[in-house]
Amino acid sequence: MKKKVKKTLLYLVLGVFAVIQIFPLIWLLNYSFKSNAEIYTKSSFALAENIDATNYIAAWVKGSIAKYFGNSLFVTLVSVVATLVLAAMMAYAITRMRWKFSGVVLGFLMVGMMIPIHATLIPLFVLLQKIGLYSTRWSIIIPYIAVGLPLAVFIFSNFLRSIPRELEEAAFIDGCGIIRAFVQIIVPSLKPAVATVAIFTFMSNWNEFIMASTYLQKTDLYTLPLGLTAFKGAHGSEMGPLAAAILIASVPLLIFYCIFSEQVEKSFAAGAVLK
Amino acid sequence: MKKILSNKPVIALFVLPGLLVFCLIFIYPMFYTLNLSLTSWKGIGPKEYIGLQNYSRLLQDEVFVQSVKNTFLILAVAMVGQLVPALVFALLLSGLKRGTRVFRIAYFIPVLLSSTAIALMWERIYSSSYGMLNEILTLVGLESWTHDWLSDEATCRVAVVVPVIWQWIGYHMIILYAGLKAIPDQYVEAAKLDGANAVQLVTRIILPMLRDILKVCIVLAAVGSIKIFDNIYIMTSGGPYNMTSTIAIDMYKEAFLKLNFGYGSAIAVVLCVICMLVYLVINRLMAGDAIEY
Repeated sequence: MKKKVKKTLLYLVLGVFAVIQIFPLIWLLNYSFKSNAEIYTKSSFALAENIDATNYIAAWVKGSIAKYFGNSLFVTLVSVVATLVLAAMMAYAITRMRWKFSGVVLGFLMVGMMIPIHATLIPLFVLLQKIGLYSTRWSIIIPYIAVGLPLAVFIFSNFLRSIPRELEEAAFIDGCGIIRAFVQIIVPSLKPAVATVAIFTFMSNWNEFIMASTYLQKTDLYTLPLGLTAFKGAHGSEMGPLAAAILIASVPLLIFYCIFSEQVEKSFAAGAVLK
Repeated sequence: MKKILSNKPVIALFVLPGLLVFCLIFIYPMFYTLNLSLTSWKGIGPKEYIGLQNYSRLLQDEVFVQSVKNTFLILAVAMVGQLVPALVFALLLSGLKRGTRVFRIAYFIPVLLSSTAIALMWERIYSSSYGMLNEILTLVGLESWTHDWLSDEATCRVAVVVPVIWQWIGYHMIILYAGLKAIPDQYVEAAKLDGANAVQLVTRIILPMLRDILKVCIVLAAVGSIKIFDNIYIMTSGGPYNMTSTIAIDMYKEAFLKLNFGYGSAIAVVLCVICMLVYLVINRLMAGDAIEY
């Protein structure tokens, strides 16, 4: 009996906390279906009268969220893929190949993880203007790659150390070249580590704000985090569409997480290791 | 074999592209920031070196001093506010055999939202007109408490920290939960057999074994608080009267709104140094042999 009461209490406490964490989002979801008339005359807790896509269409089309969404997708995908490719090559050279400075390069990258990007914000602004990349997509793609590299190399290196060397050595004996061995044998075996790195990097880049807001001047290039603030500036009084826009920006990651929750949690835990 | 693995052109091909990007974006700008911090440069014209004047100016700059105070206040509140509940809920959750997934998802969801989404959402919650918080207060009869939470000097600082805590509790909880799950049952069982109660079990057995992971969380929470920018900048831009300004917000405003690149760089250097110091202090305080099990 006592045990049962204790258990119920435990579930209750955990449940209440879960509601606190989720409630603002549910409130926002309800909000996103309301017309301005409803918002200004009724309680914000009142359920939306009609559940339809009006606000979502307004946000998507009129509020340019479609454009920002596309920008975010492009910038994030390109930077994640580039991070993965560069990091896998570096990690392979560092852990498997023989050269004097492998340890130094790895240490160098790890130091980079401790530097706040704020310390590079001003010089990069100047540098990007000098080389003509300022306010192009590349002005954030390239920094995103650099920011993602240290952690990616770290995770790949650890993973490679757990793969037996015999794997490629057998291929070398058969006369396979090193680049082919890397592409055909190492890359496929990196799959679990690729998932870890890709998820973490994707989510960080998708949500990144400070660099995007510093280096992107043209509204046409805005990514979602920046687009949302622009949306608020331009349509500040349209609460319903704003709520819809916030949800559109967040939903891809939320759905992905609900499906692959274990993998995402693993990835975030790995991402915490060295920071 | 050795020959294949010490093929210099291949090593260069594999390492140089990444290293180049890294140095261009991280290492070179770091030195450039240091250099700029010694100038009065405003973005155009030749750079004039003024020694350490920017740094001495910082000490007399009320906005900067206020920002440093705010940042450390946020650091203290956010650390306790994030880590204590995260640890408690991780412990509670690890006591469950089934049904943890639903709770974990609920706790973790805020982590996935962008700071912008969170800032805009909490703006709606705090708003004086049609905001959720004021409405709740009115419902429970505390109408006299209702006001604009973000622009009131008395409440703005608490108001900007709450969303940060709300967002990151789940993150620390997931890390700590994973750490708790990795502790072998036999230690806990043995302690129980020896008659340890729940408090003793946590303080004497579990926390010491969790030390390395706790350290990671403490570093993450501390460094994250020191660098804090997005949420707060979007909600208040540091206002009212710089009451919610942080070091990063001050740096951003000096550099990109007032175009004081030299002075902004000095702030960036200070920010960097504080991050490193906090990191070192935590490492020193929590030093000890790694525990293996």
